[in-house]
Amino acid sequence: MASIRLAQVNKIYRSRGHAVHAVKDLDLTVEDGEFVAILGPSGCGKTSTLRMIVGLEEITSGDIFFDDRRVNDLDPQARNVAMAFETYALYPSFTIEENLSFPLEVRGVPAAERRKKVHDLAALLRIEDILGQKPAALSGGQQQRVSLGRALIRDPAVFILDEVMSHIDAHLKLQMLFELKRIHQELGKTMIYVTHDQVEALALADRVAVMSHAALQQVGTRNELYHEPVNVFVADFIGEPPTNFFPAELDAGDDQPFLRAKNAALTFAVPVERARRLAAGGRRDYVVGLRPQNLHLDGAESGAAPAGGMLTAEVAINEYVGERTILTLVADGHRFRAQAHAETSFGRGERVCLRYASSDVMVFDAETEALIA
Amino acid sequence: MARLRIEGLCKGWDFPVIDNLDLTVEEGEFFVVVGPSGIGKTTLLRLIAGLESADAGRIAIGDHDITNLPPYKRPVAMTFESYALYPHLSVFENIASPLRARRLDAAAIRATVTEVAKLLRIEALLDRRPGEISGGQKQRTALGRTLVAKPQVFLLDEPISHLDAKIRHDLRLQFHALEELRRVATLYVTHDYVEALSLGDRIGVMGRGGLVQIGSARDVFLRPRSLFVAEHLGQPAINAVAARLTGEGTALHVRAGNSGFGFPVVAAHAAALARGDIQRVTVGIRPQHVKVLRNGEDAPGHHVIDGRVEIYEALGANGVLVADAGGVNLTALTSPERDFTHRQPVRLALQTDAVFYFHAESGDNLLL
Ligand SMILES: Nc1ncnc2c1ncn2[C@@H]1O[C@H](COP(=O)(O)OP(=O)(O)OP(=O)(O)O)[C@@H](O)[C@H]1O
Ligand SMILES: [Mg+2]
Repeated sequence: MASIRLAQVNKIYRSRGHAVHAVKDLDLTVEDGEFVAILGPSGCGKTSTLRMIVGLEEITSGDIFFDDRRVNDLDPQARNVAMAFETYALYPSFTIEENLSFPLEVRGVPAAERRKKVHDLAALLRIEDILGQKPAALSGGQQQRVSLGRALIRDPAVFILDEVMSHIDAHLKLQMLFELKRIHQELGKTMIYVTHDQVEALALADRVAVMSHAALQQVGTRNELYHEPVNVFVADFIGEPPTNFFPAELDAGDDQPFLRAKNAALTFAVPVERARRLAAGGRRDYVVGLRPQNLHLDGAESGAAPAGGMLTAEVAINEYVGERTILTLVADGHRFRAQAHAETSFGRGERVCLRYASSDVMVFDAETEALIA
Repeated sequence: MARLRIEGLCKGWDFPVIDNLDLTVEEGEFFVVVGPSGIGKTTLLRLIAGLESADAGRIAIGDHDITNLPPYKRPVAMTFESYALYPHLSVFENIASPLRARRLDAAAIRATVTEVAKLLRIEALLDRRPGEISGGQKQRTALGRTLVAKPQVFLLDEPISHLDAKIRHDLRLQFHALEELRRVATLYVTHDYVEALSLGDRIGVMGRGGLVQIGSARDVFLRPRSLFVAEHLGQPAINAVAARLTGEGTALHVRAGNSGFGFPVVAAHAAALARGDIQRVTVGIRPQHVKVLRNGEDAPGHHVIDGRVEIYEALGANGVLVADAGGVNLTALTSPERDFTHRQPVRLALQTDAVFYFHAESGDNLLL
């Protein structure tokens, strides 16, 4: 068992005259037994972070602690970390049982104990009935579980997974994520999971660490990231389709201040209290964020409409994706998206009205991109 | 002129990966092949590219039979799942390589590479080598190299699978608009049904041996020919419940599980099912057709059953709830803003007119 603490960790790759700052002043603590996901776009430094924790990559500066022990100079074996990759090499000519048992054999664990360990783990992973089979005979999902088994059998203190699900078929994915979560809950091991897929991160982890451009942006639960994103990046990255943003400025209004999109006739209603606070804060440039889920086609949602506003727009793309339709819209030169019912079917150029609740309008400082609460 | 035409294509004798496959992709058509991993999607592309040889059948592009042409003589451009970048060349040179082969002048090459790199958001990486970039950046470099080629057929194998939801959304829109792709025949392979439904002019769902259904997005999602097709499109996956059909009075009922899961079959479906005189079926219920009712809420036109919460997770844009409903595990799609605790009682409203009925053995859709 171990907690992990990264303190001001940096990774700079240097080669052929250029330097790439891949991880920047990273502070992150993963508690003992906690499941944390590191989430971020391609190239943000996730794999580099993991490789430093595991010991496969030199730490340019900063410290990594397992419990209170600084591990910077320990080699990977001594750290007692297991890392599972998407494709874990299984020995094709050995049975699953032999594959799982092998790492124990190498360490001189007696046969009886090996047997017991393999069978206990197989029960946990629900692969008891395939122990006698060869890897080639397994389905993707089974192979995945055996791969997890290969990493778990050594009983590591910390368990690390890098994009292990990205080739699992969508229809099996959620089930496997729930399974992995159950395994974590039963084992109680410290786990770190790296992914670019927010569904995976949110389904699995106790807390999600969002990275962008080598730097940590926010660590939080799903609700914190979704409802209180610290900045434009997190608001954009968490949630799907991505959030719509409009550069805006404050208009004093006749009776109450509101936000107006720059160079366009789009206006955004914000709750009275917040509008007053914005007005009191002095003149600034803002960015308005509105999630596609929070833009409702006029007439789609009846019932008591909360206080809010309306946008009219032209349909550019009507994208049917099964459970829902995603509309790409254009209004006064601004492009944005709305999510609608699956049955929605508009032609290019049709005009639509969209309503939103003012409480769903997020406001960011245009300069710092930070959320204005 | 340059349509892609495949006739009677076979690969593998004992365990045919491709078994007598016929497919025509028109010039300007964007055809997406979607299917589970390991089913043979990549093999299909490799056969067309000439990287594997067919055991039988023919492949033609326009009027030219290319079945026996070596790969380099085929007018196709392909991205590889493994990227296959030149390790000693920069990202720029990797993308430029098809242009160099066409002997374009330096200015034209620079302009083309820069444009595609911008589109794929890797313009800052052009001087680096493949060993110095991340997994997703390699994938985009490989895609860039393919997009600058001027082939008659594009073969794209999972070209954006390693990217996050945001950039995938953006690239999907780019693909919709990209002239290069929309001018020629494109065969696009993915395991992601959202990508398939969004991009495909037509979609082919691949199962054992070949394409088990071809149609528009609405065809394959709303009228799946089989349980296999229904299971591979949709997340969370469709609920597939082994059930009996029983006549109760004048009405037909579904019964399943060991503690009373069931609902009446709507009249339109009952008529179709009665024709087959079938007792055992697999009922398919999409998670978005299972509504988790709030306190006091009712759902006219739905069948309401009681259940208990087994799993609940709030994800990015929706919540997923798995409930035990009369001995059957049902997955429902909810708003992510709700909160449930383990074993909490819930009422589930099934939209029974949206249910599918599949043959218990063959998996065929009994309503078609
Ligand atoms: N060996 C290297 N030399 C130079 N730069 C590198 C090297 N490896 C990675 N990088 C750069 O460091 C940054 C972070 O890379 P990393 O592999 O950690 O990203 P990632 O978040 O795992 O991305 P992905 O989701 O695409 O796998 C990227 O900009 C990448 O180009
Ligand atoms: Mg990576």
